[in-house]
Amino acid sequence: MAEREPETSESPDVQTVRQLVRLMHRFDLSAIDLTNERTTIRLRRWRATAGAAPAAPAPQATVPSPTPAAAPPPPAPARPAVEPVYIRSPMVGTFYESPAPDASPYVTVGSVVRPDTTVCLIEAMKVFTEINAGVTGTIAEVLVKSGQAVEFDQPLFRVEPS
Amino acid sequence: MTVPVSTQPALNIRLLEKLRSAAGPQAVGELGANRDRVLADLRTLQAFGFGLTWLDGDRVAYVGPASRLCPDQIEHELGTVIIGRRIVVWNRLTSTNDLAARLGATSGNEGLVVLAEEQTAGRGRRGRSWSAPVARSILMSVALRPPSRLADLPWLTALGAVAVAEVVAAAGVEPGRVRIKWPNDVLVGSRKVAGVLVERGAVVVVGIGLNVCQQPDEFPSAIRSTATSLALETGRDPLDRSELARALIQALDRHYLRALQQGPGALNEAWRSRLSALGRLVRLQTPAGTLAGRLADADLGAGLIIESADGTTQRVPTLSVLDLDPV
Repeated sequence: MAEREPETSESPDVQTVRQLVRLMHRFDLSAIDLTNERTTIRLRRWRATAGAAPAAPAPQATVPSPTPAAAPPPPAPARPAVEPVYIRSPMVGTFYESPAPDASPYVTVGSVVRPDTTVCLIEAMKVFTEINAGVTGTIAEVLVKSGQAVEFDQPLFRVEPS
Repeated sequence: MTVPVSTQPALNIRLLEKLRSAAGPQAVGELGANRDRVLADLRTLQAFGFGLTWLDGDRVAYVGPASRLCPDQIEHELGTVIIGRRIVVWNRLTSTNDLAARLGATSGNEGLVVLAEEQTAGRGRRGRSWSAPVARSILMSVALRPPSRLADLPWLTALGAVAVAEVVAAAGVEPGRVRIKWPNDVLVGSRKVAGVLVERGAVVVVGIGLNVCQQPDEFPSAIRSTATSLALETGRDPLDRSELARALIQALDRHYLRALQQGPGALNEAWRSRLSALGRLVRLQTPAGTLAGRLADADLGAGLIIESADGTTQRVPTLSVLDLDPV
C-alpha cells in the first residue's frame, strides 16, 4: 500500500499525493481535487464490494495542466482488485497487543476500528507508543504475536475496510 | 475517594528552611515578629509531619523531614519553566503515568507533575509491575507535549535517565558509581536504583520510579540482590523525599529547556558518559539478528559503534536496537 511506504527522496508532487492519499484514508474521503497555479491533482477512491483498494486507481497528477478540470477521473476498473489493507508498524520495536500483560487486547479479529482507534503498543528503547489504526474497518487478522519483535513497515493487522 | 494532599492548607516553608539551615535550636522570638503566628505555623508544620523538637518550651529545632511528600516544600523556590508548573501529590493512585496521560491531554497541563505515595497498578518494564512500599520512594510522572524534533524516542528515553542519574549523584552517591544501563535504568554500581518508563499517546508521559528509603527487607525477594536505594547507598536516613522530588523536577526542566534551545543533541554527552556498557563487550538484539562486539561509542542520534574482534567497526542505528546486554 503506497501510503505507508517510507518517504524517501521523491518529488514534491509524489509526496503531496502520498499525503493526500493518507488524508483520504484517514477521513474516509472518496475524492480530492487539489488545484494550484501550475498543478492539478485529482484523486478518486473506489470501493470494491469485498474491500476497498484506496490506492488501486492510479492517482493522477498532471503537471502542468492548462485547464485544471480537464483531466477526467480515471475510469473505474471493471473488476476492482481486492487489495488487502494492512496496519503497519511505524518503527522497529516489540509488539504488544494489550496495554498491560493482564489486560485484554486492544483489538481482536472482528473488532471494528476507526482511524483513531488504538490497536496496539510498540515498545522501543523503553518508550511505549500507542499505534492507531489509521483506517476504518474490521480487523480480519492479527499478524504478529504479543511480545514479538517487529520491523519498520511490517504488517501488524489485516483490515477489512468499511 | 482519594483526596490530593495538595488540598492541605499552605505551610510556611520559609520558616522551615530557616530552622533547617540553623546550626541549633532557635528561640521562637527570633523566628518572626509575630510570636503567635510563628507558633501557629510551627504547629502546622509539625502536624504535617516535619520533625521539630521543643526545648524548654520556647526554643525549637529541626530534626528531620516529614515522612510523606510535601507539595508546598516541593514547590518552594522551584524555579522551573515548564516541568512542574503544576504539581499534584496523591496518597494512592492506580498509576501516576495513567493520570498524567489523562490530565496531560489538556494543553494547559504541559509540564504537569504527578506524584503518588502508593501505586496500586504501577508499571515497570513490560510484564512486571513496579512495586514499592508506601512512601519510601519517588513515583513521579511528567506530562510533556514536545515539539516533533524532541519527540524522537532515544531522546525521550534518555531525558528521564539523565535527570535521575544527576539527582542520585547529587544526593551523595559517588558520581562515578552512577551509571545508566541501556537504555534508561539508573544503577549504582551494578544495582538498580531507578527505572524510567515512557508512554507516548496523545501526550508523552515520562514515568520515574526512584528507590529512596528502602532497606533490603523492603524489596521483594526476587530483586533484593539487584536493587538498591539512596538510603542504602548513602547511609543517610531519613532522606528528604520532597527535596529529592524538587531536585528531580529541576533537573528534568533544565535538560528539557536546553534541548528546546539547542536541539536533542544537548542531552547526548550526559547520557553517553554514564552509559554502563560503553567500552564493554555487548550483545545487541536487532530485528536482523544478534550482533556481538565492543561498544566503542554511542550517540543518541547517530547510533552505536560496535567493534568486532578483528577491529572492524559497524554502526547500528539507535532505533534498531531491541536490546543490549553486557556479555
